[in-house]
Amino acid sequence: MRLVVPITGTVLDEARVVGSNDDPIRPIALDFRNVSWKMMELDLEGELAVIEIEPSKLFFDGPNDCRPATLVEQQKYLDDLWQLVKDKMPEELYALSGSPKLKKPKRKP
Amino acid sequence: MAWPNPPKTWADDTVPTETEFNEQIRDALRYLKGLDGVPLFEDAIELKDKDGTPVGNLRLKVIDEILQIRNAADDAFKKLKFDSIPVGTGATEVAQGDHTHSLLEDTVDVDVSGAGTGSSLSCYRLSDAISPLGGLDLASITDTYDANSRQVGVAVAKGRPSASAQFKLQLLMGGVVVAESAALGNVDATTVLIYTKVMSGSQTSICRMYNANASFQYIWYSYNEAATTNRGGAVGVGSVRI
Repeated sequence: MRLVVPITGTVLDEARVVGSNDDPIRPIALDFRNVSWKMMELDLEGELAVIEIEPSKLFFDGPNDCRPATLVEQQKYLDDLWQLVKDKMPEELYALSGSPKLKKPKRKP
Repeated sequence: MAWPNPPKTWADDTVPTETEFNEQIRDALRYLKGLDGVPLFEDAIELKDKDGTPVGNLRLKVIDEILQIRNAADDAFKKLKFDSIPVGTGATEVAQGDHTHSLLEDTVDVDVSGAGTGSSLSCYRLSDAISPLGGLDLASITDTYDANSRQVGVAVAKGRPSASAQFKLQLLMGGVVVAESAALGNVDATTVLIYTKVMSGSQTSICRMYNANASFQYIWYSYNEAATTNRGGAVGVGSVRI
């Protein structure tokens, strides 16, 4: 599943798409605990990223207990994330995550 | 007006009429100039080699809807060369002939983390504390990459978090989190992230363990293994260039 999500972090070099290792360019802090993801596209101008999501192969029964997740549970991980982001504008997602907006170097006039 | 087909063959002492002259001369010139439509050339268009020491004229020909350039002398097929497109030199040049475009090694580098700092639990061996909502860089490499290069980065971590579902492994390339694992479970597991990216100049790649918990948590290495084999994580980058 692919999602378009707002990004946060600090941009050091916009042309070469380089961020700060102390505050790296990344998707905002949504609840990604039950999924892994890869950055597929990064739009610094639009402050958005396209990420490829895969569900976790683990199901957590408790704070110190986990087991292999069933296919149904893996699908629910994707559904839950989709419900979280669908129909929301970037500003709503920033507010939901508590992540600050992307910091970019000031452009010379 | 069309091409006068067939063009008239004139005999001695023939006096052409106005109609004949207009058709055979005026209309033919208009046709060749393209004033009355697209002129159709039955064979090829030949262009003279205008160099001071000419090698050979070339002909533009169409065969089975494919535009070909052929040598005028022997009709041999000629490969195209666009001198007006300045794109690099050598193997990167758009030049006449067949070329082999090789991928060359730019740089290959790897860093393996050192031993963990803790030793409190006998079966868990060594450990590192990670601050709340913070990351611990298990391994890091900085290299300078060619302007025409592409990198494959790999982050590997072997460990068991003290808080299940709170730790995630991240791969950073050039200050961008390019891949992130799902939350690690309370099992001793190896997690691998792989990503392909375009970087140039001096860039750092990091294998980072992120603690999503609101309190200090530990990553335990070498669960039930000898402390001397303890290595929590590694990052490697292979870069190729044209």
